This record gives sequence, C-alpha cells and structure tokens, in this order.
Amino acid sequence: MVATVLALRFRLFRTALRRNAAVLVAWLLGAASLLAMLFFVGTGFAAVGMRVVPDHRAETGTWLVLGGSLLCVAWALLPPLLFGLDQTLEPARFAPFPLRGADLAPGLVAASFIGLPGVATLLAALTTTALWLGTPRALLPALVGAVVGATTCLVVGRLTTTALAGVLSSRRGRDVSMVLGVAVLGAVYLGLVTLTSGRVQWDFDPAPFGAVLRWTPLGAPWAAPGDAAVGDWTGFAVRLGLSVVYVVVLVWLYGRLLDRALTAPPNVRPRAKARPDAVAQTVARTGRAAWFPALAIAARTRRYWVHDPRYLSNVPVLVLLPLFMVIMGRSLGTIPELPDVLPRHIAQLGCEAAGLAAGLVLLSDIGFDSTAWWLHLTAGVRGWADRLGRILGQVGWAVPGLAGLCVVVALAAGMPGRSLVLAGSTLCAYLVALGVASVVSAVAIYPVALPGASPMSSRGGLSSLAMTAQLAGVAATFVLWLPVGATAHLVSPSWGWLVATVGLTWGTAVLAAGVVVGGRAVDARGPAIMALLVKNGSRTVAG
Amino acid sequence: MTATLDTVPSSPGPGALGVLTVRGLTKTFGPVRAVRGLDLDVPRGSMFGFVGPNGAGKTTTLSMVTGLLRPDAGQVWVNGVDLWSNLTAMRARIGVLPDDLRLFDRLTGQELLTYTGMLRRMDKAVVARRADELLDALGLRGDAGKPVADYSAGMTKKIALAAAALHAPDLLVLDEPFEAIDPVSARAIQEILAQYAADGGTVILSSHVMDTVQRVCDRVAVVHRGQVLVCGTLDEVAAGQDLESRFIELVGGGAVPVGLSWLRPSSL
Repeated sequence: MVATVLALRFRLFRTALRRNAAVLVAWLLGAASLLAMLFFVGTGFAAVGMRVVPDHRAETGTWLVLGGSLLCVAWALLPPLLFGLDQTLEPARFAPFPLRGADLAPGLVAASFIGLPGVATLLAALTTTALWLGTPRALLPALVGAVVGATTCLVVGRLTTTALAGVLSSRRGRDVSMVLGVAVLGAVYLGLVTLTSGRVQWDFDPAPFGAVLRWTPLGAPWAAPGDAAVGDWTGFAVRLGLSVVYVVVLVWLYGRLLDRALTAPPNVRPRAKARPDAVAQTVARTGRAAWFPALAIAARTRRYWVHDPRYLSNVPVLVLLPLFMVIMGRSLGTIPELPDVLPRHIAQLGCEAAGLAAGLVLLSDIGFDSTAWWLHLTAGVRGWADRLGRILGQVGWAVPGLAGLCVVVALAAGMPGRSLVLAGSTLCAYLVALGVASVVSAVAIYPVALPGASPMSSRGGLSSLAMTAQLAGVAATFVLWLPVGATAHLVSPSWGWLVATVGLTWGTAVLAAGVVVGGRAVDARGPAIMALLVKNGSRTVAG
Repeated sequence: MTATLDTVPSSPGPGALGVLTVRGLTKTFGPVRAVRGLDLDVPRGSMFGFVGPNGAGKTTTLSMVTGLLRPDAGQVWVNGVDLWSNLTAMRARIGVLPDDLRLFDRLTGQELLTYTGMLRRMDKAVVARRADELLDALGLRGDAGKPVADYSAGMTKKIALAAAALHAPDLLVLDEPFEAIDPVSARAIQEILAQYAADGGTVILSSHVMDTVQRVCDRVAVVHRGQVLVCGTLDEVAAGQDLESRFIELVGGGAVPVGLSWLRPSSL
C-alpha cells in the first residue's frame, strides 16, 4: 500500500509540473532557493560544529531540541491553517476504495516527503548533523535523530490536518483558518526580522525548556545527538527508543483518524443565523435609481472584504508592511555612515506602499467575482457603476484605517509631527491606485484564486498577464502619485495640511477619471470580459 | 436529415418575427465549431424546449441569444430588434438562468434578489414585494437569510431562477432549469412558468430530460452538432412517437452496446 500511494503521489506531482511551464519554473526557483538556503545554513552549522561544540555540547544539544520542537510545532499548525494548498492526497478521496486507515496511514505519511515542504524538512533536519562535526561519536545519533525528527514533523502535520478536517470543512472555518495562516506567517516573519535586526536584547535560558521537551514527541528525536555527545548513553537509548515509539503511536493514531474520515467524511453545515439584507440597507439611503447599482455593488464589496478570505487576507499584510519598514529603518538608522533622515523616509515609504497595495487589490476584483459577473452583464450595469461600487465598498473603512496606520507608524518611527504629511501622501497613493486599477482591471483579466479557494493558491500567480497588469498598475500609480509623494518626502511637518488637501484632491481626481475611463472600457468589452472569466473560471485551468 | 418543419422566410424582416429569431448563428472555440449556422424561431407565449445531446451547442447558443457571448457570425432579434446592436436596451427584456456560472454566493438568498433588482434599477418596493413572493413560491423562505454558498445545488438553481424572473422580462432563457431540483419544487416552477407563458411571456428552456420537456413545453427544437435538426410543435417534432425515442432516432443514438459481458454480480 505504501508503494501504491507513493507511486500515485509521484505521478500527480509529475503531472502537475508537466502541465504548465510556469509551475515548473516556480518549482525550480523554489528548489534552487531552498538548496541555497540549506547550503548556507549547513555551512553555518558546520562552522559551529567544528569550533564551538566540543566545549558546549550540552548547550548545543538543548538548542537543537528547542529548534526541532519548534519545527514540529510549525508542522502541526501551518498545514491545517494553509489548508487547501495541496489536497491532492486528501483522505476523503480514498473513501470509495475498500481501504482501512491503518493501510493508508504509512503511505500517506511517506507521500508527504514528496514535494518541496517534505524534502526541505528532511534536508534541514539532516543539515543539523553538521553541528556535531567536532564530536564524532554524536554524528550517527544525529543522523538517526534527524530522520526520526523529520518523520515526526510530517506525521504531526498529517495528523492535525485530518483532525481539524471537521472544522475546516465548514466554509467559515476554512475562511478563518486561511486568514489566520496568512497572519501567522506575517507575524512570524516580522518577529524573525525584529530578532535578527539586533534591536532586541534578551536573556533566555533554554535548559528548563529543553529538559521537558526532550521527553515529548516534539523534542525526543532531536535529543539523541546531545545525549550521545555528553556520554549519557542510557538517556540516549531511552529517548531515541521513545521517539520511535512516538512515531509509531502517531501513525497509528493517524490511521484511526483516517478510519473516521473515510467512513464519515466531515460534512458540517453550520446553521448560520439569518442575516438582515445588507444590500437593501445600503441602497435605502437614496431614492435615485441611477445610484442603485453602484450602492448595491458597494454593499456586496463590503460583505466580500469581511467574509471572503481572498480579500481579508490582504489586511494583515497591509498592516505589517509599514511596521516592518519602521523596524528596517530603525536598524539602518544605527549605521553612522548613512544619512540620519533615512529611517524617516523608509517609514513613510512603508505607509505609502501600503496605500498603493491596498488600492491595487482592486486589480483582481472582477477576477475574484469570476463567472458570477454574468449578473452585472445581463442586468445591463453601466461600467462606471461597476467601477464606482467596488470603490465605494472599501473607501469607507480603508481611508480611516490607512490614516490610523499612518499615525501609528509616525509614532513608532518617533515622528508624530509628520502624521498628517504621512496620511496625505498615503491616501493620495491609495486613491490614485484605485483610479488606475479601475482602468487596468477592465482591460486585463487574469486568473486569480477562485471563489472559495485558498487566497494562497498561486493559480496563475506567475502568469505573464497578471505580472504585466500588476507592474503596469504599480508603475502608473507611482508616476501619477509622484508629484504629491515627492513633495511629502521633502517638506517640513508644518506643511501637513497642504499635503493632505492636495493629496486628497489629486487622488480623488485621478480616481474619478479612472472610474469614467475604466467604466467605458467595461461597457465596450462586456462580453469579452465574460469570455475571459469563463476561461479562467474553469477548474481545470492552471496558470 | 435536416427537416425544418417551420416555414422560415429566407431573409426575415424583423417585423414578421416572434419574440426571438436567430439566423446563421455561428461560434467557434479554437478547433471546436460549437454552433454552426443555427436558425431558430420562438413565437411569443410559447414554452420552448431546446434539447440536444451533450456538447450539441445548447449552452453556447443560449449564451449568444442572451448577450453573454458575442457570436462569430449570425444575427439575433428579440422583439424584432437586433440584440447585438442594442444590447443595453434589450437586456431589460430578457431574463437569464445560466448553467454552470457562479453566483455572488457570499450574499444571502434574499440579498441576491435585492442585489439583482438594484442592478436593474428597479423600484425598491417592487423588488422587496416580488422577492418575498418568489422566495415563498420557490420554498426558499426559511433559507432566505443564509449565504447562497451554503445552499444545495437545487436551492442555488431556484434562487438563480428567482433572480432571472425578478424584473418580469418578455423572454426567459433558462439553461437546465430542472437539474438537481426535487419533484415538488419542479412542479411549482412548471406552474409558475405556465402561468407566465399564458400571460404572454415566452420561455426557452434547455434540458436532457425528454419527459420533462414533453410535459412542460409546447414547442421543441432538437439541436445536434451546432445546428437545429428539427423545430416545431411538440406533436410535429415527436412525429407520432414519444419524444425520447424520436430524439434518440434523430441524433443517431440507440446503438446497443456490445461487450461488457463481465458486468454482472460476481464473487470478486
């Protein structure tokens, strides 16, 4: 059975790579960067292993236990959170076949090793062997421990994904998990940058954590080389044996869970409580029929920003981007050779980039509608109303949100006086981006994540049309924003009101022009847009 | 093989036509000639069945007569007006239920109807009243406040049908309206459609199920390989047989499969 599942996984993997050159290129790039990273990490480990370890064997062993445990926790959390990225071997797909969970579990675990995440984990685990180059008797234990440790990681990943399948099979559960996944990744990235930027000094004694973790499934396999290095051969044998037992138990547990998944595929339909009619509430504000379509579309846009992870997952990224820039600016600010205004400019650029990115989400908006757009087309919605409605649905909260973000960044960067300058320039970038996207998105319809799919599914993320459209959007926004933006970077804080007034006026003007021009393009191209949406919307199209 | 039973003027003047007239409609997708010079006449007040085997070009044709897909060649008149030259005006006359296209499914059923009405710039009170009546008639009242994404296939079909009918169009074009719909709802829909046709409305519906077409429709067109094989009243098309047998005879099916002798219960 293991061989059958492995062969299936391998075949699926090969087909996926062959079907599309873009996927293959992305995969090769990923593999190359992975190898490069592992090479550097391995070299670093080797350097540490040759020189330092002989004197700090116990400490190195403890750090390895901590690192390995962390890796295992990541495997427990991330696969379920990023659910939907790879469901090629989802247990439910085996339900029609006469199989028991115990038959499938080892095969599915082994199949996890095929693919970049699995290979990366195994190779990363193996590079830790280099830590023990100066301690020959720990080398073989390190190798064995690494293999057991990597296997534990993959089993745990499979286990949590299947255990949480019930939650994840509900639409809302999936939505929440996808957004959480993006937020966790962003936060981890931010944390790593902060730690490595040297801004934070910390005293941390790993010993007590290591003492506990080495007995758990998370840390036991990683304890093997440390035990061997200090000559604790009893502890070594016990803990390594325990780690193998843990793997067997986890696989058995996984098999039990699979039995449940195979016989009773999760089918949770939450009884959502009835919602009031948000479209009617929004449209109730006017009596003029000409505004009905735009207002209805605005109401729907608001619903989608809150309830569709493809929109919502942009928010953590947009918030983290400027904060990341503040931190980067601060660490650069400690270098005396660089001009001391640099951190200020970098922090401001972070805000402006967030404004631009927030506006350019609109580039994918018709694509996100997918074939549901037929309703706009057959209802004879005018292009300007289609464009304006999508904008009205987000400016109401995005403008205050971005302004608030600017104040936070100004405070964090130690320049509260520049808040107004920052907000004026950022909002200008946002409004200009909305105007630009209104035009570009009417002309360029590229494949995006389909409704209900994970926002991280990189469907066509590499398609040349998508890249061209996004590049064009960024370039046009930048050029149109530059007069205001350049001024905002050069003036003193006392010019804040002027920057804000001019920025908002100019931004609104560009937005209005974008709505008119983009609206005409939609009017002229309606059926052509529909044809492209149908083409991109078919489930078999990749890239 | 081609036997167009309706006598069609070779170059129709729009005035002489019914609610929908199609001449020489053609659409090619790459190497696939989906629709090949298709002609069609749908008289006002008819319940018109549009039937054909898989891949006959039904959905493509219905997309082109509803302004969703631009034809490569050919013309479409609705109420005697050239559709593709007067798209914006004619959209108000047509109601569409597409097959296989998505809905804005994060909206609730109720919201989807309000949304549709507002996109069509209808009076708010009229939309609210009609939406209520449609939700009741289609048995969706209890689920009106739930997101369409949580609807079953049949419920989704029904809410889309309600959206198609909301603005009381002259012509309802329904692609597979009875697919996935339970018999009770199907009967309700049939009665709604029959009443609508009796009041002068026109329905075109496509279907695979000949029994349904035979019971619901008064006129039928059989499509095969992108062309109309036969078109006329139900009796004319059926030609003394039941519709299903006639259909299979027309599209050249009916070959008895040979082999598969192993397909019987076995010990293995």
